[in-house]
Amino acid sequence: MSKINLNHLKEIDNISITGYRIIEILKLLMQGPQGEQDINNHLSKYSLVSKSLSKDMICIYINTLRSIGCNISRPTKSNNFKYTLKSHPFTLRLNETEVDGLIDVRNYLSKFDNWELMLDVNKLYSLIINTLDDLSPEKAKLSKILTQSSFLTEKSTEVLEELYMCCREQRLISLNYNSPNSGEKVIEVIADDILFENECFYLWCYNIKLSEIQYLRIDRINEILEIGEEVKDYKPEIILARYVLKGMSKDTYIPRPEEKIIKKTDEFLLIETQVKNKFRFLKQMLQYGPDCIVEEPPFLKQEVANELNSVLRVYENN
Amino acid sequence: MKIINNKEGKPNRKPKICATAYRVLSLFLILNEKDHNIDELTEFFSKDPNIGKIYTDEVVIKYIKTLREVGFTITKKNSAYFNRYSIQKSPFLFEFDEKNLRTLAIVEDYINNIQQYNFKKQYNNVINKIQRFLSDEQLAIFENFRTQIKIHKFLDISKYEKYKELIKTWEEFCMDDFRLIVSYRSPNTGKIDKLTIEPKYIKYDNNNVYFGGYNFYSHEMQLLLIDYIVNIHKIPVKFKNDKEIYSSIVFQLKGRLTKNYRLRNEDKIVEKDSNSEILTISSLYEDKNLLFKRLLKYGESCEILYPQNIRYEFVNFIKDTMKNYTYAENQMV
Repeated sequence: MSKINLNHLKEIDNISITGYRIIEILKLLMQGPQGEQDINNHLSKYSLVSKSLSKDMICIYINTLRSIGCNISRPTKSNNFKYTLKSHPFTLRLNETEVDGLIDVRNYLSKFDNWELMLDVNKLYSLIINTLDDLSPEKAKLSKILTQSSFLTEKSTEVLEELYMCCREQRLISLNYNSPNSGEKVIEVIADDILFENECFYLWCYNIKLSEIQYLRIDRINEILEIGEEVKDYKPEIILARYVLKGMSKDTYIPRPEEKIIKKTDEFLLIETQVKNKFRFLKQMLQYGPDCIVEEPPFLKQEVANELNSVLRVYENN
Repeated sequence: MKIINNKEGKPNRKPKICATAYRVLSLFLILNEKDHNIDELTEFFSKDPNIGKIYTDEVVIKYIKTLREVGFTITKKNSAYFNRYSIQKSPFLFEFDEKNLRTLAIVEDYINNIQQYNFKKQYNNVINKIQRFLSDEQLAIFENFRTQIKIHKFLDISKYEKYKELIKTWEEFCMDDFRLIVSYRSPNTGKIDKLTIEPKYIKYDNNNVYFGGYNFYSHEMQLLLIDYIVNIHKIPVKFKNDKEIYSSIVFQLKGRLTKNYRLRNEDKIVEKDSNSEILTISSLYEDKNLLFKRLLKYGESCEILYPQNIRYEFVNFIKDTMKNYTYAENQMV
């Protein structure tokens, strides 16, 4: 029995014993399934509410908790005749504006292309979602942004962490990969780097069989089948390219890790970049539109021009 | 279960509850949602169908004291805050580990660097609510991270500080619903255009800041890069903020791209033909120029179908890009 001093007694006189009791019962149920005896044993620790409750009285309290939104299962043989609190509304409550704010925050953070931060943010948001009341529409709204745009299942997150280690050590790995074009297949690659771009996670790697650098979407990697040796003499073939940026692309330019600004004027930027994958480089250059001119090497400049011609032909033919 | 007869004298199998206990619990739910004063709390009670009565201030205060006794920290704010009661701490705790608390602090620091009062306010509201459910130990860890973490030391977000006043002003404009005349310097020609814009939102893309607004004369959304804004002038014309502001286009994807393309929130599949590998998508866009840049990267695997004027503009966009390679084109010949 807890000690009570005289001043406390005066305070206690002005509290609801019934209210005190039901919250203590709720706290107990939050710890795990409880039977009637467990409830009475718990209440006996508090002198305020130490009166033993009858079965009917406990039932009334449980019904009261249900009426306020708690989901409590009936005591049956299958649960050892204990009350189990499955869910309750005494948790985080966010209104629509606050949820919209969280969604905006996540969108804002995703622009920094910091995949480690995004993984941590996803975990934090998953935790927040789990704390929300099951029936609240805000929970469904917040869950949707994680399932729609997260592009990483829980399994993929584990794969990502392992891949990160493989990249640091440039290991030869064997992957079970789900190619959108050719289906499930096993590929052998040298892991190079993890990339987070346009809200997608990619593995930069060297495909042994095709002798080319690829970037694979990590959410398509089913499994890492084997982690082999460190490839010490792996030196990916890199093409040095230069391109000019002007207009809005110049003023909004954020250098990628493989790039550096060679020359800067009020009108343009001359950028040097290390090209590991030609296909990716072409897409990046096209994405700048008329703001960009590839200068070096000539064959890449030609490829961009060829690509633009191909696109124009689509519209001229139709 | 006590069977209570209803007014018709028929048995009503509504389970019996303890009314006082119900009121104490509902008091927590009400305060958990939002801070309230005594008058607001008694009004809630009277409107709740399970309560349906008006209670005196003394009764409500008694219930507040009960919650305090059982482990809640409830403070009463001063008259500037209408004497509202606010839950500061709950005895029901969350399991947030150190990493989660660190992420909470990092995200808060990112937000603190944004010069947008409402954006910060919403996140702060969420943090305040989460803090109610943290233990003293977790709170101490969180506070420690808050003081340690300063992301601006390794991130270039200098434009947010540079355009602080302009960002705050635009945020206010977005709540006003008044049309604006924006003097906007064209990035290509350097010429200053006067655009009639209905302000909608602010968009951050790394260190870049854009103002989103509906262009009244071109009838489409536009993203204005903050660096090019010369002047903003509010005009005494209110606009209705309820109309659909985003324009839509229909484009087709072909070949391998039909399998690789990841649908965005603003995309809807119109038609999918797996045999001929064609995917037709209807999409909303917030800025035509950005849309063109995005679609051009898909090369010949993507074709804009409708509307015709956008298709025509896109062709001109491609031709403008090709002018940069005219010398290369001559070489091909």
